[in-house]
Amino acid sequence: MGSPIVDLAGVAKTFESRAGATEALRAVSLSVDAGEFVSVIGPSGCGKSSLLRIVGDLVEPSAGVVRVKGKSARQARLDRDYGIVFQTPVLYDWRTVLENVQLPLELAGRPRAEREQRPRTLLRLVGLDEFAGHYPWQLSGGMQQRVAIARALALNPSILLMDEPFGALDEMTRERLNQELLQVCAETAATVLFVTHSIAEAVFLSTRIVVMSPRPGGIERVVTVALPRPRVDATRADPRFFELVTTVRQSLREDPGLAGDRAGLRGR
Amino acid sequence: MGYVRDYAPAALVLVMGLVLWEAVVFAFSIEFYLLPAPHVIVQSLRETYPVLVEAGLYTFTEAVLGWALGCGGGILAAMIASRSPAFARVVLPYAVASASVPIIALAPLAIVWFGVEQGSKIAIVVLMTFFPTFVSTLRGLLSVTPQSLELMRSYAATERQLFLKIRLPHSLPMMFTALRACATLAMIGAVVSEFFGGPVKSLGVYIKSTASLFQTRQAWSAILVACALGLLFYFAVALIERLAMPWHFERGEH
Amino acid sequence: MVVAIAVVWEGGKALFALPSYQLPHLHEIAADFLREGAGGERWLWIMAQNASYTALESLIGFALGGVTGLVLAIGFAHSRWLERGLLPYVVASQTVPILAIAPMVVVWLGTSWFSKAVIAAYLTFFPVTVNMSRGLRAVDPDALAMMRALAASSRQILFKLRFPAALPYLFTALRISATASVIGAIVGELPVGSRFGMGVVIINAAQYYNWRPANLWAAILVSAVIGIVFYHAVAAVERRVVSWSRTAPVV
Ligand SMILES: Nc1ncnc2c1ncn2[C@@H]1O[C@H](COP(=O)(O)OP(=O)(O)OP(=O)(O)O)[C@@H](O)[C@H]1O
Ligand SMILES: [Mg+2]
Repeated sequence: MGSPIVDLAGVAKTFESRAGATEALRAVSLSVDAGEFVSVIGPSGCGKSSLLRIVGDLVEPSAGVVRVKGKSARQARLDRDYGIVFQTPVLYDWRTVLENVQLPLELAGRPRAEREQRPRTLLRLVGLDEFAGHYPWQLSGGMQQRVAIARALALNPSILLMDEPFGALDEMTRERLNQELLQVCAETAATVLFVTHSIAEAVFLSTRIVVMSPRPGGIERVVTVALPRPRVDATRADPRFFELVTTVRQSLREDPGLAGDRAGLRGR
Repeated sequence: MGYVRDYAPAALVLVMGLVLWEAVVFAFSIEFYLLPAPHVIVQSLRETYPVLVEAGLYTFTEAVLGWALGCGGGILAAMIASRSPAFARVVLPYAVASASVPIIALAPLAIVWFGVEQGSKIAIVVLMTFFPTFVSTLRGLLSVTPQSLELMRSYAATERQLFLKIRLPHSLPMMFTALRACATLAMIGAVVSEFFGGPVKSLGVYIKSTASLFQTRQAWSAILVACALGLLFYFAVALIERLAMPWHFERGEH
Repeated sequence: MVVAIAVVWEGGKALFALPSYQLPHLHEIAADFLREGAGGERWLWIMAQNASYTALESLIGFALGGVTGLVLAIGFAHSRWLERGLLPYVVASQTVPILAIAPMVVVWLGTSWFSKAVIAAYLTFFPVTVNMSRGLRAVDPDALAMMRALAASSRQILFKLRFPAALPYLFTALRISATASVIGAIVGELPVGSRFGMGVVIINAAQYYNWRPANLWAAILVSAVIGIVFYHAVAAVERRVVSWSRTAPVV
């Protein structure tokens, strides 16, 4: 599959602050091919968000090389190759749902016809076309997050960066949105870098899972998820699904931060 | 139904207050120069309104011009200061502390600098309204969340786009809170500046001189005019606020 | 800061060639404090007397208005009907130039310190009432539910929960009121007949401005200092009392 879309080589990050230096990442190397869905999982504070921010050129790495589509991360950002979704939706009160999705198109100076059409298509894709005229605060948390996803897709980005996008949602909504997200990705052919705390979510969504170790953050292990696609509800009942969950969990063994998640899995 | 429940007590208090006022003045036969009954004030208002309208407009003009210049200057200064958050954080504490200075005491100096006519009153109103507007607007412009800034960065938004599409609309609620408060402040500033000295045809001088001559009913009707103009100003700004931020009011928080 | 002001002041004076009539030298203002007044006393002493008179008026008014505002706010928190009946007027009166009635208050209560204190109280109690009742209502619903679950009496809820939660709001109002009460006292001293206080000094100095411009500047400087000291005294108390507050409410 040609050259990788995202290519990290020896990336390190040290934050300097008054309290002293924090080494967040050390020697991270990773290649992501087009169309892949790569999840990043690891204990809290191991540098997952920092890694995502470095790929998106929101922070500079202290060392190492980041290439995105063969360009520097900065050039990729200026070319608007990214779509970003955070844990909170970050929607704007003064814009309707439709106008929030239009924002990236306005910023990129796209022609009027596209600014009218594209957001409507995207809202239909995330099942919110009826709510185009609503204000964000009139929507539930899950709906707001779907708006954020639609907005991230507005410029047809080749790379979708998602930092715990469903972290604040309940289990049921989360599973439904997982399903929707896979559909959306299939239709837009986006490559996804996805941070999560849920092992099950990571296994269900990904083609590969990057398990990170803490302090300083580094890649502990990369688990390839060879489950058949498209993933459906039955996938979660597949014995191989459980095997993969166990594999990932074992890679995370020493981590106390995921204890809650284990309890959640037992119930299912 | 909700309307009745919300406003009935207030209306009741108004009616009761007026009745009580009339009754007290009548029952204790209070001299009119001490406290004129409401109907006497209304009567006096009818007799003297040409004078009052002229004085009212004179003072109102000062308030509105001073407000426009002071608030406009405050907003502009905040916009400039917001370009450098580091600079903004240095000046902000001083601007906040300026609330501790009784600016109105500068009124006699303003007369020396800008003359006894409208200029000096406008100058005082400008000073009084500049800082609150500056502080609120600046806080609004700077309180955009870090995530919002990252989002804009990821879209390679220009500084100009960030300002026009995010910072400015984000700051509107705080800006308008200041603009409303300053409308009241402006009217107070104009009237009270005139207490320190001004032309006879101004509302402040009229109130002060009639009060000192115990022409109480004239004084009260002038105060009533000042109140009415103050309220008018306030609600005019509140109306502009509603038009400027429809999203803010659909929520039904105000 | 002080040096910066002095430099700008004298620099501006030199740059625009402003005569002392428009902008006196700083040393001229300082010298004014040492000049002897009509009664043979130094102006430093005259200013100090009048300043403490005004400060006392404001302080009494501040206390009076603060207590009134608190009582009203607690009343509002207790009775929805009281609140619906009176709060609109408390709020509306904020939009009204209340200082305009200062001359009338002096007509009623005479030119003694008392009328000034009443005006200062009047200016103080509005912000306190409005902010305090907002603060008393801004209690975390979960915390309230917990107190109910513990079968706390409404009195206990008021003193153990609502009141502490409202303190940051109260102090925001008190800071505003501190300066407002000084303004109220000074404005109360303006009407004819008053004999003491910074308002009187300012009016007199304004009349003799052509002869002694520095006198008015000195008087205004002293008035400003009263306001600033008052404000920062309240702010200092605030920092001690509500140091636990994470978010200062913006009003
Ligand atoms: N802007 C910053 N300044 C200083 N230190 C930072 C900054 N951002 C992150 N760090 C530090 O870098 C480390 C990694 O942070 P990061 O946010 O990437 O972790 P994370 O894996 O996303 O954690 P979580 O799962 O809790 O979101 C932490 O120790 C954090 O304290
Ligand atoms: Mg994170």
